[in-house]
Amino acid sequence: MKANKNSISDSLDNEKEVLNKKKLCCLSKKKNLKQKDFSKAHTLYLKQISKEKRIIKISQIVILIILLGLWELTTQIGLLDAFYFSSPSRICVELGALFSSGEIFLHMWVTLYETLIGFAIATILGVFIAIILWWSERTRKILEPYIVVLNSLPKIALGPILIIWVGSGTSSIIAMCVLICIVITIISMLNSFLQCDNDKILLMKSMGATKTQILLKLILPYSIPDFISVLKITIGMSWIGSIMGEYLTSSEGLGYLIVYGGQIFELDLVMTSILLLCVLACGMYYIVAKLEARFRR
Amino acid sequence: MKELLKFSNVKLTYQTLTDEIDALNNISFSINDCEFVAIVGPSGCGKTTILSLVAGLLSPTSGEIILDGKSPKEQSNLIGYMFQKDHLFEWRNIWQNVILGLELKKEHKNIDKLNKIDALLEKYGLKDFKKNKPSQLSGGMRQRVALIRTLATNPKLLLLDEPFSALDFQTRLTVCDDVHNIIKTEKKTALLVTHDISEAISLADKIIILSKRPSTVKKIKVLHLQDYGSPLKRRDAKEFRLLFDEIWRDIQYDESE
Ligand SMILES: Nc1ncnc2c1ncn2[C@@H]1O[C@H](COP(=O)(O)OP(=O)(O)OP(=O)(O)O)[C@@H](O)[C@H]1O
Ligand SMILES: [Mg+2]
Repeated sequence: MKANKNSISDSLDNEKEVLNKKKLCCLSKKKNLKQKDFSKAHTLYLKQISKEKRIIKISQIVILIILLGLWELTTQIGLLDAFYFSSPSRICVELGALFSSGEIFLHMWVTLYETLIGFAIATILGVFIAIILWWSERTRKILEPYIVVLNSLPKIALGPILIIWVGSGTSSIIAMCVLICIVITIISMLNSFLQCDNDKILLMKSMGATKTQILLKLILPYSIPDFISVLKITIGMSWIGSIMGEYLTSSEGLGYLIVYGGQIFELDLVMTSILLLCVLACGMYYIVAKLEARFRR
Repeated sequence: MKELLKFSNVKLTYQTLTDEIDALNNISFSINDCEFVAIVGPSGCGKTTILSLVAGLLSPTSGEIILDGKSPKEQSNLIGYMFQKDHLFEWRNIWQNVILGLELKKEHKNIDKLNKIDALLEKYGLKDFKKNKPSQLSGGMRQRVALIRTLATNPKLLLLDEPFSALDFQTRLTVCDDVHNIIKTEKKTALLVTHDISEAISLADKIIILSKRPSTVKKIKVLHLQDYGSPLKRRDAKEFRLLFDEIWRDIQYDESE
């Protein structure tokens, strides 16, 4: 029996050593990165990778410059009519004018605000509903066809109804935003909840866990990665919601500027608004992506 | 020796839309305190079902199960269930994983119990990994953590459902030794389900052989290999081969019927 115990502790020590070595390896790799004393082949390999990266970056920038340059050139020489197509230089002028008058800040803020509120409501409410559907299998089965219908329906079709029900302006824009995001949130989160390994649930039950404990200690933490993936999708969709809403009914916001600019044939305004919209949307996506990196670690 | 678990004429029928599946048919056996019992039988004969019954996750269709004087549903404190996979929660570190059971019972502030877990971790070589995430551990270590998580709530009876089958053969032998050693030193009773006859012989004091579904107890074989020491050493026992053949034939004979 005693010898047996020794062999166990031996094997334990062995495993520890292996793990320690693994740790050391990681550490030394990190150090090496700073010192850069790799073998020749590895230096070459790293060089190739960074070269590849540089080529990609440069190509991306070159493409942008060519596109903008062509756009500017063709409008300058009159191949394209700048009245219909606008041009980079005209957009710059427009940007300057908009920002110096300060009015643009209001429009940007309004759209951002509608998007964020719609996004937040859809996320919170969506997760809440998903939890209810997870909790009660019967409710889930009863509501299934309704969710399928809601999911396949193009939500924009409900626009006129929304305006009548919740009034024109901000509230119906937010409602549109919520409507577009919430169904996908519910479906994705519910799927994620249901995907949790049944054995893990049995394990919790065998330890005497209540359903609330299973939810809080297993299901919710388990689906955090999926939750963040859903956020990445819905943040994009909430922009669709708010801009669509503004197309339908609004007197301010970037969507309003785009529609208004289109109506009065002010293409510079349209293009500039789209550019600003791009910047805002990318910024928000970037924040969510950062959040994801933080959680995945 | 005290009797800890008793099955008397237990039947279990699963209801499905298309079928009624008789999984267990008149199962009777009993397990004493501190005994290590293995259940073997052909695939799909209802081994996992028996463990679910003991864990109180299912109720028998007929017959009676007595776990330390009461029905299993009232005795969830007495059992610890260990699955084929370790099912450690990746978002928790090792320490948070092993105290999960206490947390569920709202006893995670009980210093005595925490100290006991600490001692277990120390004893079985996991002390330095408390703050690590499960993904940083080897398969064998993970399985040991899972065992300590099961032991943390201080159960009397451990239910082990093929706990080694996810490991490679080499690790499997050492983890087998470890787990056996831990269970014996902590004076636990164990009910192990396995496909592997040699594993059953090397670990158990008693082997319950089940027949094909609807399964009955075909034979209960009491082993006397304890004197050989650890499971690994028991594999060298001279009776080992004979026992293996006997049990293998018992299972096989049934399948050819
Ligand atoms: N929830 C269920 N509903 C219906 N039938 C089930 C259910 N669980 C198990 N069964 C059936 O009952 C029988 C016994 O299942 P069980 O999982 O206990 O077998 P097992 O001996 O553990 O098998 P294995 O060796 O493959 O793990 C199988 O034929 C299985 O198909
Ligand atoms: Mg099984």
